[in-house]
Amino acid sequence: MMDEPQSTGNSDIENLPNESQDGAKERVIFTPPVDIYDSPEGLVLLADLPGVSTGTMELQIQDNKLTLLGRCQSVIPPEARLLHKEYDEGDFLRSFILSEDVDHERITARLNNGVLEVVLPRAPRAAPRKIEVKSE
Amino acid sequence: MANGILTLRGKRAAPTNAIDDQFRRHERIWGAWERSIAVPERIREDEVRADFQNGILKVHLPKAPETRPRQIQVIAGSVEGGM
Repeated sequence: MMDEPQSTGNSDIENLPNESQDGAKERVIFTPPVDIYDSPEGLVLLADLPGVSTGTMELQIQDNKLTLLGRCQSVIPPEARLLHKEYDEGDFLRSFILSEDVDHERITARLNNGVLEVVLPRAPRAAPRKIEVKSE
Repeated sequence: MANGILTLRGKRAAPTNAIDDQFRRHERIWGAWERSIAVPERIREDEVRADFQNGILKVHLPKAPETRPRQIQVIAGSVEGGM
């Protein structure tokens, strides 16, 4: 139905976050936690992406692969002196393989308080079609 | 904020539109949470402000100005005066 690709070795996507302007700095990439469930509107995917805004969120679908990439801007000013740190900053990346019955054209997504919600409606089933059988 | 302790509380509701409460994946955490942090410095508690953006809470705790040292006058005690 909705699986993650076995190998995340998609170099085209994985290299993206490290190509940020401040090139010298290696960015940490996290796998965000997600919920996936069936709803009357179709499959729903929720992902926790704290620090990501609509302007830094990329959601792309290619063939049947859905990839979410959220970039985070640091909230700690560079001149600040850290007294305590438990929270690591980084970008979020995760991909999913969509099944055939998801209607790619009608996928919608919204980002609210750092939670991404993607609704994946089911494609309407093709109506049964009679195939005329002719005799020679 | 009370007595030098900052307390944060929040609650996240579970999704309500799941069919039969069936989840194909359930990795996110829901429910109520609380955390208290003892602030090591004196804070102007009435000027604490917070903003919540993109799921990140930022709390500003302005430091209280340092109080000026106060001199305590020491007077000589009488010779017999014990403790």
